[in-house]
Amino acid sequence: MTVSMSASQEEEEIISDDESENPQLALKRLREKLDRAVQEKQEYLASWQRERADFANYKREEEKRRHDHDLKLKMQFAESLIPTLDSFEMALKDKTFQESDVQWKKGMEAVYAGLQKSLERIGVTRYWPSEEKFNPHTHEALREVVTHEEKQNHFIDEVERAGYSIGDRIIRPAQVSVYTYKK
Amino acid sequence: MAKILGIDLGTTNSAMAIMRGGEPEILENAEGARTMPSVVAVSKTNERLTGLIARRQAVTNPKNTIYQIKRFIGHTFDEPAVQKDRAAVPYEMRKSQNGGIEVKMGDSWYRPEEISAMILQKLKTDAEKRLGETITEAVITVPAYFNDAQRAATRDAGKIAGLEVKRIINEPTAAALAYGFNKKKNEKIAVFDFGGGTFDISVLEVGTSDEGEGSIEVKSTDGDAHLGGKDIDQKIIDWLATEFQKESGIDVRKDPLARQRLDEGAEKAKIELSTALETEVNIPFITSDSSGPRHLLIKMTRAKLEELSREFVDSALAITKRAMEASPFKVGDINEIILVGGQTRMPAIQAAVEKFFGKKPNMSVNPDEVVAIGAAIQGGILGGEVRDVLLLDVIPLSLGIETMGGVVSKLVERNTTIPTNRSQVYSTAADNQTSVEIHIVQGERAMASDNKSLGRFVLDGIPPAPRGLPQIEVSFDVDANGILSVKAKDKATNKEQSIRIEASSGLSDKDIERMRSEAEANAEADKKKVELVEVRNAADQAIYAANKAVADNAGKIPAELEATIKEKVGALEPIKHSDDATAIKGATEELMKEMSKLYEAVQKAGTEQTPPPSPEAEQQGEEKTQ
Repeated sequence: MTVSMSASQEEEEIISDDESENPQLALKRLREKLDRAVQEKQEYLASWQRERADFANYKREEEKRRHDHDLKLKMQFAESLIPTLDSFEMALKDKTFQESDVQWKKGMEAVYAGLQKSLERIGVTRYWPSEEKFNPHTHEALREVVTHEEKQNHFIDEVERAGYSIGDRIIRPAQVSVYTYKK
Repeated sequence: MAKILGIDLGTTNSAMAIMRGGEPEILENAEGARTMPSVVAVSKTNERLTGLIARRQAVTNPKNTIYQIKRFIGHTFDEPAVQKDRAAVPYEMRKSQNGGIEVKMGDSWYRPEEISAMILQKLKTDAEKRLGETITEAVITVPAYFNDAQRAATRDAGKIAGLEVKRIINEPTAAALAYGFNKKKNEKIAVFDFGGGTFDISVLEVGTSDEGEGSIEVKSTDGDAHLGGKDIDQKIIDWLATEFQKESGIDVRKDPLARQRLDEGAEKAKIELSTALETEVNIPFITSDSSGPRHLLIKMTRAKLEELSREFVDSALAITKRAMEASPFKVGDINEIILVGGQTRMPAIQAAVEKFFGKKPNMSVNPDEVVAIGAAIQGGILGGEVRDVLLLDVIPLSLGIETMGGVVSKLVERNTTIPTNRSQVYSTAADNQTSVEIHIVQGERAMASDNKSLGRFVLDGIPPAPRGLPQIEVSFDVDANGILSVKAKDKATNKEQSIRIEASSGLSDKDIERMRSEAEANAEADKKKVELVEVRNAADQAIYAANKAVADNAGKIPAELEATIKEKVGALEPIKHSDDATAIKGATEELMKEMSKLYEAVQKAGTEQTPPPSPEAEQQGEEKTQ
């Protein structure tokens, strides 16, 4: 809604009866009005600048959000596939499978490799950190294994399940058993 | 003005949120998660770890991994509750010189507030990284039953973390803020918080503070510090393991990897049973024995899950009853019920709460995030994020122009925040059209004649050209006072014409409401009108394209085909402005069929001339003005 003030109304507001007799009062009143106006201007300018800045930031963040969203979709896809890959790996390691027909084995290993490849294509990396020092940033300890060799302390004993990452994000840490040194 | 971080400092998990653009928003941490385990550790390599990373090494470093510190904050060492909880945690604890508590992590002893500060510090750092600005102020939530000492210790934790704690607020109050329930005076609210490891129920009443603002008062609160989702998870795991043992004779709980897979399977089943009535826990190759590999394949129904969790749900309801009795209200007085905590996603819990209160509980805000969201809102209020200085208005009715066939092309949709400007490119509807009339209308109806006409002007001097070729840019600019300026510019000559309409917002609320309801009531009829116009326009376009193609390719197409096309044009021409959409559509399609033959013939003739424009391609171009 437009609120406009006519010139005569403004005049009336500026000069009251008392002030018309006393110019100093009128001046004081005008100064106060100017101060208020300057203060309001500063407030509006600051709010406007903030809004512009918020919008510029929002646009940048929106771009990042879109990227994050893509990443999340890929991570969700990988997360849904990983338990099946775990079971597959268990099956491939099983004695009965190892002793099965060569062609059958070859075929199943190719199917497994195909599944892994589909994850690779979207940027997912599988890692198997055997013989590495335990690092909670990329590994998760499932159990402790006592060792009497000091140099083994805090090293990975066995990788129970592979780790998966995408870029610098861990989808699932490698699940491992860790050596703990005891004399 | 710096942002105030809203923090839900939980026993099991913590979360943070911020106000942005007047809306609360959960901030993800550095690991990309929306909640973070409230765990701190010093690793065996002397590295300070927080959150998920700390939890990952807990098995191998239990003595130096501190979790559930919230159970101890603000307590004295000798309190019976502390002694009881102390027995359940693997880390060392001692009485401090002033009778308080200290826990050992690495080689040092820390007060609980220092541990909490490490969690807060991690949240602060991650928030700063995400926002790209320094965070110095926060609102932190605590359970309603926290006493002064516990609240003071939480405030100290914030201070240690480098945060000025602007306010400590109750978790149920934060939940009520997240739902905006602080605005209705005398509203009575029950907050049912079934978390991972604790259960709390609070009864609140919205009153008026001394300053005349809405205030939320906790009328009663109760709970069980050792009842939560973890109990239900454990029960599911035990049931699955027992079922598997019955069948295989193997107890998979003894194998850490099998146990881990069982945990994940149970969690997945619990989630699936929130929406499905039955699921299958499917863990192939979970173990093996002399006979070969063994698979855990167990069907689980929602009824089974409800049976397994019944004792915990019953217990939560008994506590709720107690809390109601301790409050000045009857169950029937409660106006709103809020669900907090991930466990409340279980349909059995929702149904039990609904049955108890006789009302549907609120659960539209993510129950894991609702407390942090409320804390952020409180931060927004304190920080003046919601300010009255700049009131942004919206336009009450859409603004647009009339296009070919009298259809409105909306440029500014209703409820668009002003000031704003929008522009769109249109074109001419006839060959050699040298002027366009811009008719500005306001309203929600599809046809221009049904809306309010705000004004019109003519842009002339457009160089003669085939229809659809000139580019006329129409721009709408609505200033903060609702004054609309419309400009039309011919992009080829830069010639422009404009109009300023001051009365665009001069409608009374009653007029606006009437126009809106008319639009709603006539939506179906308007849709049909627009469809008819579109069919007519398509017919017009087809006739134009056919005539042009025949003229352009004279002598290149078989005479028989040319005659058929002319015949089809002749059939369409007299009915193209009729009200019989089906007949127009049918005749247009027949013409188009013949046109396809024409294109084929032209192509076959191997003409070097550019093929004639297809009507579809032209229709996809800019809209035509009148």
